[in-house]
Amino acid sequence: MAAMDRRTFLVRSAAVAGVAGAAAVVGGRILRHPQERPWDEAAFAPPGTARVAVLRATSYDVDLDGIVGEGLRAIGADVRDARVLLKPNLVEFDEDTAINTDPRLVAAAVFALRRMGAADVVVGEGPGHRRDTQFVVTSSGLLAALDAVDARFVDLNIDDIARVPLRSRYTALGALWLPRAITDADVVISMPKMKTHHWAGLTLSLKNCFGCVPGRVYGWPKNALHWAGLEQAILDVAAAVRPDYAIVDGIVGMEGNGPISGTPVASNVLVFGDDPVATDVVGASVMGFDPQKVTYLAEAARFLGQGDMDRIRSEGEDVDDVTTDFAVLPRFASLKA
Amino acid sequence: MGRNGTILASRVREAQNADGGFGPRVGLPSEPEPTAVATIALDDERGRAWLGEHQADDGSVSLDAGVVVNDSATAFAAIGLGSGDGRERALDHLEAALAPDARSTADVPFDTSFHGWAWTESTFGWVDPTARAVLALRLLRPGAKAIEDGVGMLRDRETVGGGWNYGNRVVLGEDLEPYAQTTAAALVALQRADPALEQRGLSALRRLWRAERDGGLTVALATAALRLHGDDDARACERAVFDVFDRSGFMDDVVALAWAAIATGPELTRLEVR
Repeated sequence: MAAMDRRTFLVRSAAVAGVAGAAAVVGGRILRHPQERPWDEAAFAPPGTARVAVLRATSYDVDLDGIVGEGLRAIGADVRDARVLLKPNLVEFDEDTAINTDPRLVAAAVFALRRMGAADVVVGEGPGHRRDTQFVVTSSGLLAALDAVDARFVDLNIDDIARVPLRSRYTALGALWLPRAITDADVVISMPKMKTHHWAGLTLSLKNCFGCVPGRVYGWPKNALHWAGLEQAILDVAAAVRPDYAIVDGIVGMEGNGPISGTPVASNVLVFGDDPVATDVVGASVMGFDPQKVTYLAEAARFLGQGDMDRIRSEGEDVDDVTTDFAVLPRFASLKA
Repeated sequence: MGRNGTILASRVREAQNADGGFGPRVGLPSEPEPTAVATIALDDERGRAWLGEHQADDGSVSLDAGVVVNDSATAFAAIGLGSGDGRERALDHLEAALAPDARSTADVPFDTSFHGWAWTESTFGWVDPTARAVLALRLLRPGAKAIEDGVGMLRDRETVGGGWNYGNRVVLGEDLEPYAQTTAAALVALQRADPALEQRGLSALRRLWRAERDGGLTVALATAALRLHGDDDARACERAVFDVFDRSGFMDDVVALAWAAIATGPELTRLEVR
């Protein structure tokens, strides 16, 4: 992705004041208008066949690095000599529920990726809910888990940033300032928790990209993105980050009033994919959703990745055998299969 | 300042860039919020100069991300700048920058007569940016009409039982939980504004900071709030600040470090609303 020099643009100068301030962020384009193609054709090749693997994992105490390695191999992940950025989902900590990607799984992924030849594996997150990242990553146990495998954590909310012009135009944002940990990585792996979401229906590897956007620029809870239109922003942010692979933590997910106040649900799966859209389509199916009814997911399948189940090569478990019917808020009942 | 307070101030000083400003993390280019908070912590001339040099024509000290302009550091910049034209322009900006009208809904109900301040221009008002704007105006321009709006917004968004979440009291019919960091930020702003509201907030904060003591920014802001309110818990919370610092150096988060230096040092008196 193209990045520009932050010093040139970021700190507002007297010369541009007023001009920038006059351009309010307004709601994005209407989704799913068939005539509209709000993306640069040259930047998004038509989605090809995707590979997804659904593997059973009944707890966080099993051989997780073995399962993660198996899943990554099943999707043909190639991380040899790569600088890998693992992006888990950590937004809040509550010991009584299951909000975050489990730190044991994150550590297992670090271990597995190193075994597959990654040159460097860094874990980065910019919590979208809590301003105090240290509270979230310490109390959740992530820092201790990473310490045990000697891996580095980067707070994406306060990392150095670069301007990335958007190649999709669902919002009026035009460009995003993204952390260097993301723009400089050879491989970005989105590692969400399998959860329902009280505004978007569900949150998987595409929505997880919100945590790549620095709160110190866009506010908390990444409010400028919500203001720009939540589903539109999911599309533009995911299209800017473009994760290379995804690993969905569905060992214990969250149903109901997610992504923070819901109820833990043991779905006992990990979903791997070499295409974030395909991964989310399969993940949504595992949760009992009809992916075609999830507006942002259906829209993402038009340009960002593969949404056609017939063109998603699925390894491991049959989705029907591992589907757990995640409870949803009444407003999202129509999204269920 | 005690020995430990000196250590924190020294660590902030070490984070200063050659241009006089401070980055969000040690070693990164200078930005408004870390520069403004560190300038308050150190009462620093070079920081003041950076803020003055980067003040826009509209008085704000902002991050400009194109259509998104984050002007939420302007309140701290007003405090850090010291008396003079730059400060007055920053305060003018605050008075003019209340969040726009927003629609209260059954899902997210709130009193629409109050707006508060947003993180980014022309978006929704949240507790943290509102608290800092209220603080700056109450300290430096106590007659400002916008103060009433800000205090009213904080009163409206108080969570059930006391304290503050990030922005709302109820979402989707659920009473939201208060957090230590936002509760502390609101209490710093509300000194001597509404005794009953403050007491409920302090009661929540005494419980919350202990539960959230792993966070550097959390315990730093909580110490500042407790000290400013003369609360007996301040000393214990201050010890937590040094515990976190000793263990982690606050993960090189300059805003958290600067707040820790303010909370444990003499500059806290600059934030005292009399």
